[in-house]
Amino acid sequence: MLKNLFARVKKMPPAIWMILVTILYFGFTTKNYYNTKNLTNVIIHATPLFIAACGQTMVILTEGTDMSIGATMNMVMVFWIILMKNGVAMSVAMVISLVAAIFVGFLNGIIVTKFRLPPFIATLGTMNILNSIALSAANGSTVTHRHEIYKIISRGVFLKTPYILWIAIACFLLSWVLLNKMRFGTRVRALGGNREALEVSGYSVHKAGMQVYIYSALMAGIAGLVLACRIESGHPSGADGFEFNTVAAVLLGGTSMIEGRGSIVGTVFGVLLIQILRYSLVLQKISSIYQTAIIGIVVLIAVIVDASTKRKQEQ
Amino acid sequence: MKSTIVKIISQSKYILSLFILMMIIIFASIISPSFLRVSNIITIIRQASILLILSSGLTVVVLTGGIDLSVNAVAGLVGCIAAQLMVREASILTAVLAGLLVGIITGMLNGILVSLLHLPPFIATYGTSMVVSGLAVMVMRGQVIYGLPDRFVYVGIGWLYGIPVPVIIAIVVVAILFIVLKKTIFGRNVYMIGSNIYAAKYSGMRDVRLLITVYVISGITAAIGGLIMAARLNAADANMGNAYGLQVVAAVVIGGTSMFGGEGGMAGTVIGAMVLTIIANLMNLVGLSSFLQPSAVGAIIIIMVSIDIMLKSKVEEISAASVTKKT
Repeated sequence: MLKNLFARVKKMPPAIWMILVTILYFGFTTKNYYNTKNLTNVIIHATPLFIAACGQTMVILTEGTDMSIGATMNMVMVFWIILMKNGVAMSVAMVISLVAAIFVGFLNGIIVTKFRLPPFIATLGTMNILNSIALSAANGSTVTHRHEIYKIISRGVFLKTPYILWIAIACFLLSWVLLNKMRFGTRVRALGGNREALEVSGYSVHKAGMQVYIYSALMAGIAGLVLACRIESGHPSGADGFEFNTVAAVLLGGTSMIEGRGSIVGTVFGVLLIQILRYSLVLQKISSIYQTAIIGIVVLIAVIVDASTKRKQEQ
Repeated sequence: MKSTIVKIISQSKYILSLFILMMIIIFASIISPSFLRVSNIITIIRQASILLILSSGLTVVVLTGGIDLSVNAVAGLVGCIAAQLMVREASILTAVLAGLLVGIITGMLNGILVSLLHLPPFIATYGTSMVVSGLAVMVMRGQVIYGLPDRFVYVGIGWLYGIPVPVIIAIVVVAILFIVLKKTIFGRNVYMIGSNIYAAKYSGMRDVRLLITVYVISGITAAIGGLIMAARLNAADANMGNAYGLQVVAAVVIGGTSMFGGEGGMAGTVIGAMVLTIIANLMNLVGLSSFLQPSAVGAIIIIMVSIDIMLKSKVEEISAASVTKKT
C-alpha cells in the first residue's frame, strides 16, 4: 500500500511537488499569501499561457515542437484589433483571425508532414514570416481599439468564476477528451511513440501530423485573443517568448520530448508552477531583475529531476 | 542524365547554399546599383563577422545533433561583464579573460546538462539561456554602460592591414574550427557522434567528454562574439545579445548543416551568415521596411531545407532503383 503510494508519487510530474515547495515557502515568508485574490490573479495571468500550452502538449507528444506559437498569437492579436478598428463586427473579426491561425497550422502541417522538414526548423521559418506579418500589419507599434469585450472576458464573472477561466476550462476539456477519449489522441501518441506501428495499422501519418499542427495553431489563436483582451490592445511582439514558455510548461508537466509520454493534466501544473513562481516573486517584492534567472533555475532543476527519475525507472 | 545531376547536387554539400548565395548576390546587384560598391561590400562583411563568430561554435554543436540556444544570452552576459569590469578600471586583458571564462563556464554547464544529465539539448540550453540573461540583467542593474577604453573599442571598429579587425578575428576563429573539424580525431568524432551515437558509443568513444568540449567551444565563440559586440557598440546593455535572435541558428541551417547532426560544416555556415547579412543589407538599400526582414529569412530557411530533403530522398530512390537493376 505504502509502496504503491510511493511509486505513484514518483510518477507524478515534477511540477506538482515544486508547486508544493513554492507555496509552502512563500506562505511562510509572505504576509497574507493564501487568499482568493492572489489565486484568481495567478489563474487569470496563467490563462493565455495555458491555452497555448494545450496545443504545444499535442505537438510535443508527436516528438515535434511548435516554435510559431508566439508569432501566431502576435498575428491573431493584431489582426483582430485592426479588423475591429476598420469597422468589422467583433465576432466576425474574431472568426477571421482564428481562420488565419488555422491556416498557419495548415501550413506548418504541410511543411512538416509533406516536405518532411524537422518541426523545429519548419516552425522557426513560419515564426519569422508571421512576425513580419504582425509587425507590418501593426506598423511596428501597439494597435488599440475601444471595445467592451475586453472587460467582459478579462473581468466578467459567471457562476463566481471569471470568464477567462471558463475559456481555459473549455480548452482543457477539449484537449483532454481529444487526447484520451478519441482516436485522435491515440494517433498523436503513436506518432511520437511508434510511428511505424501507426503506418502499419493503416492510419495516415500525414493526416495525424496535419491535425496536430492545426490544433496547436488554433489554440495559439484563442490564446492570442485572450491575451489581447487582457492587455486591451494588440501588440505585434506582445507574445514573443510564448513558444519557449509553453515548451517549458509542458516539460515541467512531465511530458517527454521523446516517445509520446505525457498528459494535458501535467501541463496544467507546469503552467501553474511558472505563474505561481512569477507571482510569488512579485509579491515578495523581489526585483524583476532576478526573476528570469530564478525561473530559469527552477525549470532546469525540474527537468533534471524528471529526466533522472525516468531513467532510473527504465533501469 | 537527370539522375546524375540530382546526384551531383546532393552529394556536394554546399552547392545548394552557394547557389542561394549567388542568386541573392545577382538579384541584389540588379535591384540596387550601390550593392556592389566596395564600401558596401566591406560593410556587409563586417556585419556578417559577428554573426559568423556566434554561429561558428554553434555549428560544431549542431554537428553532434544538438543545439545551443544560449549563444545570444552568453554573448550578452560576456559583453556586460567585460564592460562593467573595464568601467571599474580593470585592465582590458582582465576583462577579456573574464569574459572568455564566463563563456567556458556556461559552455561547461550546457555540456554537463546534456551529456551527464541526459537532458534534451534544446531544453538544457534554453534553461541556461534564461539563467544567463537573468544574470546579465543583474550585472547591469537596468543601466546602459557606454564609453569603453579606446584600445578595446579598436577591436570592434578598427582596421588592420586594410581589413576590419572583427573580420580578421572571424576568419581566425572559422579557420581554427575548420581545421579542428577536418583534420583532428576530435573533429571526426564530432561527425561520428552526430551521425550515429550508438556506433560511436560501442566503438568506445568518450561521449561525455566530447559533448562537454563541444558546448565549451560554443561558449567560447559566443564569448568572443559578445566582446566584439560590446566593442563595436562602444557600450553594453543587458539585452544586447538579443540583436541576433534566432539568426544564429538560421545561419547554420542555411549553411546546409543537418539539424540531426553528422552532416555539414564550417564552410556552409560562412555562406549562411553571408546570405542573412546580404538580405538585411539589401532591404536597407532598397528601403524596404525592416519588418519584412524576418519573413525573407523564414522563407529561405523553409525553401532551402525542403529542397535539401527532397533531393536526398530522390537520390535514395535512384540508388535503390540502380541496385534492383543490377540484381
